[in-house]
Amino acid sequence: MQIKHNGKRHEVEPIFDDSPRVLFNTRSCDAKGIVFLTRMHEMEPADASYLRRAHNLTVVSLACTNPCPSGFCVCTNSGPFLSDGYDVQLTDLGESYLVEVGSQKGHATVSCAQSLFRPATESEIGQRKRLEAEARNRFGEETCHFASAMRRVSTGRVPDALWEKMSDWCLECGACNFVCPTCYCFSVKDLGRNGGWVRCRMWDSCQYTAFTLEASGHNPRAERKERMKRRFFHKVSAQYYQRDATVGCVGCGRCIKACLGTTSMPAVVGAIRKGKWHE
Amino acid sequence: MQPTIFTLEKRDATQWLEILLSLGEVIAPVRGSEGDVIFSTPTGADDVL
Repeated sequence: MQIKHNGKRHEVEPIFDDSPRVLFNTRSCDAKGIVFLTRMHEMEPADASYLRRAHNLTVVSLACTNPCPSGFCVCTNSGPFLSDGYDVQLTDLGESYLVEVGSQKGHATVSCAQSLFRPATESEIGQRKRLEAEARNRFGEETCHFASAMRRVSTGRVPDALWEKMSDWCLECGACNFVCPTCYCFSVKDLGRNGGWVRCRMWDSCQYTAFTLEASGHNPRAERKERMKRRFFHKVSAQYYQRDATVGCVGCGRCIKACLGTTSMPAVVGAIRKGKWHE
Repeated sequence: MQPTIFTLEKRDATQWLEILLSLGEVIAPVRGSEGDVIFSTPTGADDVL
């Protein structure tokens, strides 16, 4: 929002960004991340700033025929190919792309250049199915541990001692948050501009000590283990599953690469399931 | 809605992208060889980074 002083009083006006945008070549996990964020921002009180941007965003995703080594999107129904959650999904067939239109926005994106597209042949659709099967096979045996972790997290059966041990391996760098397609915690800053101020949301990390620090000096999550517990409760608990019908993870695996410690999503979910942390 | 399925020849993809660019901003995040995301966009990487 924009805040200005007119000489007598402050005037506050919302700022909306209605520019049309196309997100092109989005990977399946990222497209699902946007679906998750939109669902979250649609809940009351709905976030008009976010939703107006989302409404004007068209997602053209690129199916992952060659899945990344650290991804586990098959566990979160976020890839390697999508069955929903995209406006247009492209599949690389070699000399051409198979183009699946999944929404009215996607239809408009293709219609504006209709002469470039032709109906896909049965052979091309068959090739896409084979590519998806091959991509899924590259993940090996599909064993997903989210359900087990969800039961334990949701029923408070993760001992405090385990959270404490795991949190010793977190360096509080916030990298897991800043690469995560479903993280949306933010702080608020007022930036001076044109004789007034613009109030901005800045992406923030729930793993930072100061994130929940209150003006009084009290901090409800002063200990690192409490912040870690909150993060994983938010990501995998049944309460959030009931609300959003999905876990708060799209299996992109970026936290595995970004974590300076060893507390990535698969590591923590695995430890919760087993009830012990590696030393 | 049921997906409608088309084919786009790769030689025509640039033309499609140019048409999309004329309608608004196009942001293209692409994945590098190591699986990391490299942001690049025809309208200026600074917009994204």
